[in-house]
Formats: sequence, structure tokens, C-alpha cells
Amino acid sequence: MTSGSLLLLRMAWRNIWRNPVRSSVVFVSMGLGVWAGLFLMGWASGINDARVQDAIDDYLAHGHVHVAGYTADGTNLRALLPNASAAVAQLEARPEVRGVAPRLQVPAMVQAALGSSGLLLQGVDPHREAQLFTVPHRLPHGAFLTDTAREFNGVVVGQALAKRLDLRVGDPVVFTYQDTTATVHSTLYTVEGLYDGTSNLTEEAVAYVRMDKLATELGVPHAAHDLAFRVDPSAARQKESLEAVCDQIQEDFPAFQVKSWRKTAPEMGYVDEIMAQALLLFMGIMLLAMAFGILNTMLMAILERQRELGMLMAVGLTRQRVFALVVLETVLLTGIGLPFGLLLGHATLVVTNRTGISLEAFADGLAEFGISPVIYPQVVTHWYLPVVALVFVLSLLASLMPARKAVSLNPIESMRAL
Amino acid sequence: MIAFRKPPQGAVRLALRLAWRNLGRNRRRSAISLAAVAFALFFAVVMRSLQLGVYGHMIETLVGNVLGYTEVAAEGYWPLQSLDAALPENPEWLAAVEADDQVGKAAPRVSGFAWLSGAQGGSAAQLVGIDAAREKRGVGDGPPGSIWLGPGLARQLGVTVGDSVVGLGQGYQGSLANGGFVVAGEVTVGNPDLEKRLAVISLPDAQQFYGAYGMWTSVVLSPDEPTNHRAVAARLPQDHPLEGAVWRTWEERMPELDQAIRADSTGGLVVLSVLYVVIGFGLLGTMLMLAEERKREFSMQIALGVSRRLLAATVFLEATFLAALGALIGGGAGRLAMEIMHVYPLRLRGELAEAIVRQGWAPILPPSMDPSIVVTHALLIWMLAVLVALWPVRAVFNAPTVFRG
Repeated sequence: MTSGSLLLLRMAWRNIWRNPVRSSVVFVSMGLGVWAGLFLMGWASGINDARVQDAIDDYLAHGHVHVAGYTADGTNLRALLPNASAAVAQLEARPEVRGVAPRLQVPAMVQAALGSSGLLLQGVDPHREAQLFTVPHRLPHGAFLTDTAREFNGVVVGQALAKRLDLRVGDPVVFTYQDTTATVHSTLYTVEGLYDGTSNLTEEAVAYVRMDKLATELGVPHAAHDLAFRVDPSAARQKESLEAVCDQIQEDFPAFQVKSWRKTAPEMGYVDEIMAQALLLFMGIMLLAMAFGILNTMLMAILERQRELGMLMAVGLTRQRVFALVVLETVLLTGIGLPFGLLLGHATLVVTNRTGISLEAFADGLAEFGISPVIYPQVVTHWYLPVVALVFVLSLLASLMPARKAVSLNPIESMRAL
Repeated sequence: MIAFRKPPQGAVRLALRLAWRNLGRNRRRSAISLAAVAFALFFAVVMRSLQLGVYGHMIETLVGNVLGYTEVAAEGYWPLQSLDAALPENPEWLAAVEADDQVGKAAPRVSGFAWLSGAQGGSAAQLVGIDAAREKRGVGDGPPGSIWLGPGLARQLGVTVGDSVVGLGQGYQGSLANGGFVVAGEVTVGNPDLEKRLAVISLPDAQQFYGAYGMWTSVVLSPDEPTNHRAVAARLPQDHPLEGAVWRTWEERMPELDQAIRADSTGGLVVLSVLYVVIGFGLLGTMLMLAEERKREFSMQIALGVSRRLLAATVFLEATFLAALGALIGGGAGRLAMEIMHVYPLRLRGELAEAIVRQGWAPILPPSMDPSIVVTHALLIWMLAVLVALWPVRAVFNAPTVFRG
């Protein structure tokens, strides 16, 4: 750095402290804006990470194997894996796979004593399902498809559905569904347990029965629609490593499709990106609004110092330097508030990430969307740099108008000004 | 200067005139302050309008089309929605409710669940009998035995117009409901998820199918103005009582949806309040400068005998005018944006749109046209500006009589 630019920097720095009250207003608003923006970003990420993790543990798993034409809503009944147990064994043999659960899915109508509803009947292997998912472990009432329940056709329904149809453990229900030959079956089941799912929506939409029983009913013994699998947690964490694992498994199953949860439920992955982008946009709007304030402050500072700027130019300060002086002062002014905002934001996120923030007042509404009432904001370090860049770009833009105004001053007239 | 020209007719008028003229003295400063207020208000209005519009769209889709704002049904009907809890038909009462000024629509329904089978497959569906003349949805009006299916349901059954569909289910008081229908068309409600399990038939067909002759399961009411539906729902049961019936608003029947909307709406207000705090500081900076720049002028005027109160009033009014002008411009621009988005709603594209459709919603972002959005936020930002304007007022009272600059 040349001594000239060092001098400019010193002048800009001292100018800032000529009116501490004015400068403080800018620092505080910048710090507050950055802090609030970071916190909102961490908050949104926290909500979404928890939602994705709950969905993976509850029903999504890390990946799925099925034939082409399969749909997760069970509407394509004929999209079957013919020899499910062989495929399960083959999948389990892979070192990165941590568990496999085969499923048979059929849309059905449930009829209880007092009412009826439509849902997806999911045939599962109880032991394998319990290894992969939390549903078999979250039963406030009853049990999850025990071996003794085989004779009486046990079914496990969600709490929300049970509440709506006034069902209790031990109540009889009739399920009506169609098999692959379009024959309609109506079968009596007994409620064996009520599960507590991630959202009221899934609790009303999915009921669990034993897979072997359902396969016999549908006339497709040994077949499954979908093999859900979990992989090593280290491989599942990153989007790229999970996709790589799925690609490797695909090589073992050329006849089938192997898809990660991001592909079978893309909406889960997008929400994160959409939220972050929306918040960055909001941050931009907020900083733009702040830039108006900075612009105004700087412009007035220039008008206030007309006389002095005229004097400086008269004694030989070039116009480029005057321009640089104003730009430097603006960037410094905004730059002081920024680290405070970042530090405060970081500290808030680190602390709340540990303690969590309770939203009990909205618990039922959040459950509707599968969001837990205690939110743990994430420390979104990857957004710090974009935020810093945004602040500098906007403060540079805000400095242009006052700098141009300063350069356009006529030294002689300015010195005469009041 | 003005004070010398003409004797003032009143201090207030003088302050008003001075304040107005002062705005033109430093046009650039006025313009920037104005822009800051207008810009902030514009974004606040657009953001809020879109957020409330999305809720409105959700409510309109789910509530207006399917659930009904208010539902009149027998005591035990909700939440089971059991056919057995049906009400006897009561045309005189219905006619009286329909004649009420604040009722936009009153339509009886016979609703139940049935298993529908088509050529390719079957599905459980909510099979609803509606009064086509009253619902005015363009479905439910055809030869007896006609059925209208949601597009997703028709795909699942593998049927198109003219094909037959067989229904099987539980009828009134334990009877077996069964019957054949001919597909007459599609019924759309704006939510693909609902359309996967919605089928509509005529009211007499439904009464026959379920064996619920002379019965209604519910009567859905829509107010002529959705915003005052709660007030209407509270008044109607007294004016038009119906024995054995309970009146439930959609908020009572779907508390989770109501709460989810409130939670999200609160989140939106938190975000907006952050924006307002930042704007407040920006305005405060402007006011600080305004006070600073005019210290000499204040002192001079005070020395000349202008009362501090008049001066303070002038400065305060100046800031108030500025904020009001900014609010007017920002509010106007925001309203204009709302009108434009109302005619050309924002349409989401690509992967994002697919994700939204998967969640069961149409991929559009309709704005809310509620005029109170502009008014509320314009008032909020104006009040903020007025609060901040107390700083230069303070400066006037602190100004020394002799200024040495």
C-alpha cells in the first residue's frame, strides 16, 4: 500500500469518528440487520434439517430399489419385484448398506364401526421395519405386528386416523382393496397398535400390516413393491456420497431402479434450497433498504463538509482521491458494523443450536407439516461469505452517489459556501 | 422569511406551510428519504400480499371448494363424517338461510367414503352427492347415474368419459352401498392430492347409493364475503336455528390448518419487523443529519424570536409529511404490483413447481387483494417515521440561542 492510499484510509477513518452518533446509527443498523438475517437463515435451516431427518427415520430411508413404473402412492400395483427375499439378501450383502426393509403397498379403504376413510395399506416385515424406521418404536398404544397377532390379522394405524374414526386397540376394521387381477377383497383386521408419526398427514395416510399376509391376499407371494434401505451414516450425510453409493448399488441391480431419497421425495431436498434462497433475497432487500439510509447519511456528510472538501481540492487533492476518500469512508462505515453482526449472529446460532427454541404454542399446526415444536437453529457458516459479499457490494453502490457529488464540487465556490 | 411577508393567520397554519416548503429546500435529501420509506413499504406490501395470498389460495381451495366455510351437520357428524349422523332434509330452513343477505351459498350434501373400481384399478374415494344448481361448479348436473372424478382418481381407475365405474361401501345405518356409474367428466378443486380421492355424483344419486333417502349429511355455507365469515357463522345459528344441528366453521373443524397458517404468518411478521427495524435506523440517520445540518438555522430563528414550539412543530410536521408522501408512493406502487400479480399471477416453473404439485398445491403464487394490507403497513411505517422524527424535535429544544459554527 502506498503512503498516499494509507493517508486516505486514515482520513476516512477519522472522518467516521467526527460524528460518533451518526456513525453509531449506521453501525447498529448494519449489525442488527446482519444478526437478524443470519439468525433467520439458521432458523430456517434448523427447521428443515429436523424435518428431513424425521422423514428419513420415519418412512423415507436413504434409498429405494424398485422396478420402473413404480409410484410411491401404490397406484401401480403391477410394478413388482418378483423375488423380494433374494433381492433383499443381495442388497444386504453390500458393505455400505446398513439395513433393508421390503414393502408391499396397496391403496385401500378402511371401514370402522363409525366411519370410513381412504389410505395406503403397507405390508412390511416387522423386524426389518423396526431396524430401519422409528414408527415401530413409537407406539403410545398397543404393539407393532407381533408374531402372535398373525392369526387375527393385526393392523397398526396412525393416531390421527384413530382419533378421527374413534378407533382403539382391539377394534375390528375392514380393509377393501383390489388385487393385480382387479378382484376386490374386503378383509377383516384388528387394530393392534396406534403409531405416532412425524406428521398428522402420514398418520392418516398409511397403515401397517404383515407383508406375508397381504402378499397372499393380493395373490403375489414372495413379491414386494419397494426395498427401502439405509446406508452408513457417513455416506448418507453428503448429497454426493449418497448418490455415489446409490450408483454403485445400481450396478448390482441392472433390472431395477435404485434411487436416493432426494430422487424419490425431491420436495424434501428442495425446501432447504428454496428457503435459503428466499432468505438471501430477503437479506438483499433488507440491506438495500439499509443502503438508502447509508446513502442519505453520506450525502449529507458531504454537503456538510463542502467547504473543507473545496479547500482540500484547492490545495491539490485530486478528484480521484476525493472519490476514493468517500467510497473508503462508506465501506469502512458499513464494515465496522458487519463483524459485530456476524459475531453476534454466530454466537446466537451456536447457543440456540444447543438449547433449542420451543414453539409449544404452535405445536399442533407444526405437527401438521411434520415439524417438531422445539427448533434447533443450524450454524450456517456457508452463508457467512455470501452475506459479507452482499454487504460490501451494496455499500459500494451506496457510496457512488455521494462520491460523485463530492467530485462535482467546485473548489472555489465550495470554500465560499456556508 | 415567510414570517415577514404576511402576518400569520395561525401558528398551526404557519407551521404547516413552513414544513411543506422546507421539503423543497433540499430536494435530494427529501427524495432519498422518500425513496427509503416508499421502497420499504413496497416490499413489505408485496411480501405480505403474496404470503396472505398463498394462505387465501389454500383456504379457497380446501375450504371454499371442499370443506365449506361453515358446515351445518348433526351433533356427532364431525370428525367421523359418518353417514349415520345425517340430518333429515329441511327445504324450508334451507330456503330461509339462502335468503339471508350475508349468505353467498348454502348447499346440502350427502357425503361418504366408497371403494370405486374401474377397468384398470380401484381406489378409495370420498363420494359426495351435491346439489348442482346450488354449488354452481359445473359438475353434478347430468342424467341419473353420472359420476365426475378427480383427474388423479380417473387415472388410477383407468377410465375416461363414457366408461363405467362400480362403487362399493358402507351405507346409511349399516346398509351395503353399491351401484354403477358412468363417468360424465372431471371435477377439479385446485389440489391434485385431493383430486386423487374425490368423486362427485348428484344429490338424489347419493341418497339412493347410500340408502340415505330424505337425508343430508351436511349443509355447507359460504358467506358472500369470505373475510367476515366468522361473524356470519356466529349470527346465523340464532337467526335460523335448526334442531339437532351444530354449526362449525372451518377453523373449528381443521384447527391444525388454522394453526399452521397462524404459525407461518407469525414467522412472516417477524421477518417484516426485522425489515422495519432496519428501516427505522435508516430514517433515524436521516433525521440526525437533518437536525445537525440545521443547527445554525434553528439557533438563528430562536434568536429572532420564533418560539421553540413553533419550530419544533415545523420540523415534526416536515418529517411527518415526508413519511406520508413516501407511504403514499410506496403503498400505491405496492397496490399496483398486487393488481398486476392478480391479473398475471406468478407461476412457478421447473423442479420447484413439481415439488409444490407433489405437496398437493397448484404451482401459482396468487397475491392477496385485501386492501387492509396496504393500509396497515403504510400506517406502521408512517408511525415509525413519526417516532423517529422526535429526534430533530429534541434538537430544536436543545439548540443554543447563540450558535458558533
